[in-house]
Amino acid sequence: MQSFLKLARLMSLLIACASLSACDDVRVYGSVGYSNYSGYGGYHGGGMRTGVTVGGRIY
Amino acid sequence: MSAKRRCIAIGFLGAILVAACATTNINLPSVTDTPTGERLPGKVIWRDLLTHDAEMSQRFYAELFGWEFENIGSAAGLGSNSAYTLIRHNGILIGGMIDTIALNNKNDISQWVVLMSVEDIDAGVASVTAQGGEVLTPPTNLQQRGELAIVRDAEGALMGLLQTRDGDPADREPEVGAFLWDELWTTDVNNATTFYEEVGGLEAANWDIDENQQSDATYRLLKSGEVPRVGIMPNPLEDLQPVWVSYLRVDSPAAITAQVAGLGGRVIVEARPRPLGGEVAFIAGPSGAGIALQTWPLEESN
Repeated sequence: MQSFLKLARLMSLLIACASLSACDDVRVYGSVGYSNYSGYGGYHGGGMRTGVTVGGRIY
Repeated sequence: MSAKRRCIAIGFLGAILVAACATTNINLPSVTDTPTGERLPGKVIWRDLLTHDAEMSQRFYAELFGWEFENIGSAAGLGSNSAYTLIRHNGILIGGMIDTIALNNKNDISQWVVLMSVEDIDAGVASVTAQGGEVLTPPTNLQQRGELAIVRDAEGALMGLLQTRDGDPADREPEVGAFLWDELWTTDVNNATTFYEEVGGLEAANWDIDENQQSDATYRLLKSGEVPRVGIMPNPLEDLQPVWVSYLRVDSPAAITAQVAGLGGRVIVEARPRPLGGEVAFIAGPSGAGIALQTWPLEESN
């Protein structure tokens, strides 16, 4: 019983600490990386492109 | 106190701490130093750079465009682990930068994220869901900045909706080195157009941006009243997932691209004339986040 209570105390503290350390990150952009969004993740594709039409402001 | 009571007390304390975490106040500054007091739905009013290499990214943009950076992570209530940096150009707020290393994400999410103004954040996220998008971060109160939601549109492009607290920045012509335009590169232009018409309250018009190209070069211009707000076009790079691309006003794209590699970035599309006038280029910063360069106004460009 004593060892169970010790374990329960330890788990409570660990859960509280883990929740605190992660909470502010998750609230804004942190949830993006944890979602199923696989990510544009920056452009790391092949070499320089030619022959493509890029848009831009018209007026 | 018995061991059982001590255990209950510790558990109770943990619950209080977690509850306190849930109500942690994040206070990000307004998107402008001179809010207008009114909102301009459909307008892109802020851009956040998500980067896994904040130091290199800062040097990259500072050297190329003269941007200034101010870290406010702790002051904003985000905690010491969460770096949030304001970006200014000639003293004017133009965006933010988030160090994604601090977010402990499982994926590389480096990119520029545009935040579109909405009049009502709850109605905005409801519209996102109704149009086939996904809400990744539900409306979150950032105090001075307003309420922010991070979403994916129907084609998967990441963006944000922001209901400002004190109003949006007024429309003004950007200086050289500042943001000029925002454009969605996507897989299904028609579906994306419907999405942003509904979510942003915008109206679409077609433009043929290159008469020498095939019909899929048709450009969709989304306006609020008579004011052009954003563009939508077919993704010109086949291995790129749908993404919002922001454009910076520059005098000479070629002069910029010549420096990109030396600062840890890459030139994806070399400087070239635009069919409608001026010049354009597309580059990636040190983290891979892409950004376009364009001369402006058209009549002064060759």
